[in-house]
Amino acid sequence: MIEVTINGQKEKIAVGTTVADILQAKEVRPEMVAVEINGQLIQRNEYRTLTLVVGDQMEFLYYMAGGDFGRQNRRQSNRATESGTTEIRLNDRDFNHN
Amino acid sequence: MTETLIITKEQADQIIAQAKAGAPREICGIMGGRHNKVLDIFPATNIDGSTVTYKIDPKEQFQIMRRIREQGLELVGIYHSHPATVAYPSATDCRLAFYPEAHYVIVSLEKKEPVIRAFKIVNDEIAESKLNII
Repeated sequence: MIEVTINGQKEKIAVGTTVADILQAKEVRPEMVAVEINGQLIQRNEYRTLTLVVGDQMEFLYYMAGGDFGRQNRRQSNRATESGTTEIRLNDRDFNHN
Repeated sequence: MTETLIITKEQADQIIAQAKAGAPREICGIMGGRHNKVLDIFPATNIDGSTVTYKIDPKEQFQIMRRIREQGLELVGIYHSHPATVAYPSATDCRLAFYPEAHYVIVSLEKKEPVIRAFKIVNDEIAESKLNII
């Protein structure tokens, strides 16, 4: 076991534990959060491969997001995320029109 | 019980000015404070760059939350604009409201006179906060 810090709290984890493992253990959906390790933002495609080492400081924050999507017409809705970010596309329901 | 969010006129004007400058795209930011009183406003980049969605740049979000902690403040609000529609949480706002402790402040530029309102969103339930502009 090794000691790391997760969101300010010291925790012991097994050697080889990945970011994805930690999020799963805490019942956090990876697409809902941003993760930093030792002050560096980690890309979501690294969560399953990046393992923590002794002394690492991991922080995760739920995204702050939203917007008026759903009240606009369909044509605007299709261009909703011009940056192409997909992290907040939790499932199709979020982009169905009300 | 209706919750209250206290904000100064200067802070409200600052957010409205940011919304107008960013239109037609949505703008966003974070509010730090104590006891539901906004003490500092942290404008942030909408990484979506969209007219209908916002997402605070995660790198900035971490930096701002660290600054809030270092200043001994708490997260009291998250604000964004609706450039073309009403100042009321959309379904998307509700589904992505991951901070029940924060007031969600929305600035509407739908009409000539901007409208600013605040809400608590908890488990998809919307409750308007009393916005006390001092």
